[in-house]
Parts: sequence; C-alpha cells; structure tokens
Amino acid sequence: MQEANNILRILKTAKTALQKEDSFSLRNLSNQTNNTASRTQDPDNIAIAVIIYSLSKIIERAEYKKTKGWEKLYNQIILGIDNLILDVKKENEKEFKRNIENLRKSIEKLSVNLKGNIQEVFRKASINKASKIYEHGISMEKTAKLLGITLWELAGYAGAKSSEGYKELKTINTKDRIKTAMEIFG
Amino acid sequence: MKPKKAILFDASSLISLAMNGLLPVLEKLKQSFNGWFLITNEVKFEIIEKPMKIRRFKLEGLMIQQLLDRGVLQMPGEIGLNLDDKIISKRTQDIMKDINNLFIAKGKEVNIIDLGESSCLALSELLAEKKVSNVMAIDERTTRVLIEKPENLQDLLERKMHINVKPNREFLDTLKRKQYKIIRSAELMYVAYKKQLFGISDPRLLGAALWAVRFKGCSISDQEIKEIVKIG
Repeated sequence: MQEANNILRILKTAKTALQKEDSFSLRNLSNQTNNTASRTQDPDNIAIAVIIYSLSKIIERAEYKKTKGWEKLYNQIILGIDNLILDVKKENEKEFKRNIENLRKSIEKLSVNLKGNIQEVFRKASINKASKIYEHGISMEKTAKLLGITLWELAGYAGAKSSEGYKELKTINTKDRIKTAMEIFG
Repeated sequence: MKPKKAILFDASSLISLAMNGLLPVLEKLKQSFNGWFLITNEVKFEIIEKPMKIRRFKLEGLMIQQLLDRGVLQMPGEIGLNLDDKIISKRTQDIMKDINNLFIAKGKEVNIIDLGESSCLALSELLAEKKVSNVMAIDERTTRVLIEKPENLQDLLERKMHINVKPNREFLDTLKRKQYKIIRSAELMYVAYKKQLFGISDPRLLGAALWAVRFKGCSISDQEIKEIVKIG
C-alpha cells in the first residue's frame, strides 16, 4: 500500500465523519484522495476513495437509514473501518486488501432490497472518482481501467462536465485543427 | 489502387459518435473519403468486445461491429501494408512504456496512457513510415494535450496534484519532434456539415452537433464551439 500515513489519516477522519453522519466531510475526504490516487494509481488508495465517496452518498439519503438492516450495516462499516485502521498500523497489506473487499461486500450483501441501490451507489462513485482522476491528466482509458468501469460510462460522465478554465487544454488553434480535418478529406 | 491516406480512430471518438447516433454520418464521411478509416485491435476491444458484454452499451457495440463488417472501419491487417498485429503491438508497448516514463512525480513515474491510446500512436507512426498520410481522431483530452503540447500536460498534472512534476527531457524532445496530427469528432462533424452529410438543413445544425459530441466526451471548450460555429 502506498502512502500509508495518508490512508490512516483518511480512515480515522472518515470514521469520525461517519459517526457524525457528516456526508459533506466524507465527500471532502474522498476528494483528498484524488491527488494520491491519480499519482500512485495504487488500487488500495482508489478503493478507499470509492468506498468513502459511496458512504457519503449513502448517509446523505434519509431513506437508507429507515431501511431494515441499516443499523447492522452501520455497525459493520464502523467495524470494517476499524479493521482497516489496524491493518495500516500493523503494515499488514494482505489483510488490508482482504478487509477492503470484506467492507465492500458487507455493504453490498446486507439485504437484497438495499443491494441494487447500493451497487448503483458504488458504480456511480467509481464513475465520479474516474472523472476526477481523468481531470488530473490521466487518460480516459487508463482511468477507466483503474476504476473498473468502461470508457463508455466515463465518456458520458466526463463530457457532461465543463472543461472551461483549463488553460492547459488549449493546444492548437481552432482554425488550424479544422484545416487539418479539411485537408485530409481534401 | 491503395489509398495513401487514413484516419485512425481511438475509442473515445467512436464512442462520442456512437452515443449520439452519428455512426450513419461517419459512414457517409467514409464514402466521401478516398482513404482508410482504421482501428487497432486494442481499440476494437474497447468499442466492440467490451460493450457487447454490457446491456447498456450493447447496441452501440453491435452498430460499430456492423461498420467493421461492411468495411467502413478496417483493421490495419486488411489494407495490404504488412501491418500485422505483432508489429503494431510491439510499437504500442514501446510507446506506452516511453510515455508512461515521461513524467516523474515524487520520484515515481506517472502512468498516463493505456493500450488503446498507445496503439493509435503506434499505428500513426507505422503508417507515416510507409508514406501514408494520416490523422488520428481522438476525443479524450490527455493524449491530445500530451502529443500537441506535452508541457501543458506537465502543468496540468502539477496544478491538479499540487506537486512538482519533472519531465524526462530526452523523451520529451523526441516526442515534440514526432509529427502526429489529431482531430476530434468535433472536426469530423464540421466536415460532415460542410459536405451536407446530415440530411438536415438548419443553421443551428453545426452548433447542435458540436455540443452533442462534447456531451459524450469530446474534449472541446465552449469557446472552441463558438469559434467553429462562427467559421461555419
């Protein structure tokens, strides 16, 4: 696992935010992982980013809390985060990876009723994280693979976001590019 | 008689067109183009094989498969230039390795691009070596910025990651000397508009087509859309 101290800080803060049902802080925390995830492309960092973003989306919806099994889910998540914190402290990478998967599965498998919704939350969280990493300058295909989504999903989502203000994206003159296109069709 | 020009499509440009129902326009463009529309195996995997397994995108995958079956899109191995998969694959790996070692952040290389994008660059080089004039149709922004102004990508990485990014100077200079040319689905729409291939006669058409591809992933700014509409 890369940048363990950062992961440890994120997990500890995420636990507190979750206990306070503070979805805003959770989303901010998830965004803080974008830089590291873009640079290191470390699957553990990316998985944590997706889980935390998903949690922020889950707890901001009141209906989840009313669903049967929510309390059990909540306790499992807190326990899951505690396990991850312990794994990072012990530098037990193998166990950390296993516990990330367990945490994700426990959220996904809690109930058949919740499952569909929560899987959708995870999918959307992955697309959201992918679009952030793409914004950081990593290619669309590379990013889609890192997040386990398709280029098709990412293209639609990224396209809907404005890229205004990104001065770096302006490379060649509009007329020149049109000229290139017209010339090849010449 | 072999054409001596080609447009190479990466996955992102075909996705923009397919998701907007613009593949028939692409086919008409091909009819007016005395050259090849090519895709690599790596791109084929992303735009046909992958969506075939996903209900949401299967239709688009099937429609692109049709274009391949009818010869609108072609594989490099079919055009009689001895561009077999092994040659492209080897060049693809070399290019991907070089580009993914181009920028170093915190002592570690930043992996920027993947196989499909690298394979377009590889094919472009191989065609140029065989004196085939070619441009790549690439909608995603990273590869475009990397090729056209790599220092801009360095700036973007630094600004977004809040760290210093150092380039591998030697490869950066090599990259700058390469003669890749890039257009996007937006410029293809412009050409289709000029050639009246849409079957729609409306002054709003060009802007509408540009916004449509933009919303499906074509990296084009509001300003560029305005400029292209103005050029008209």
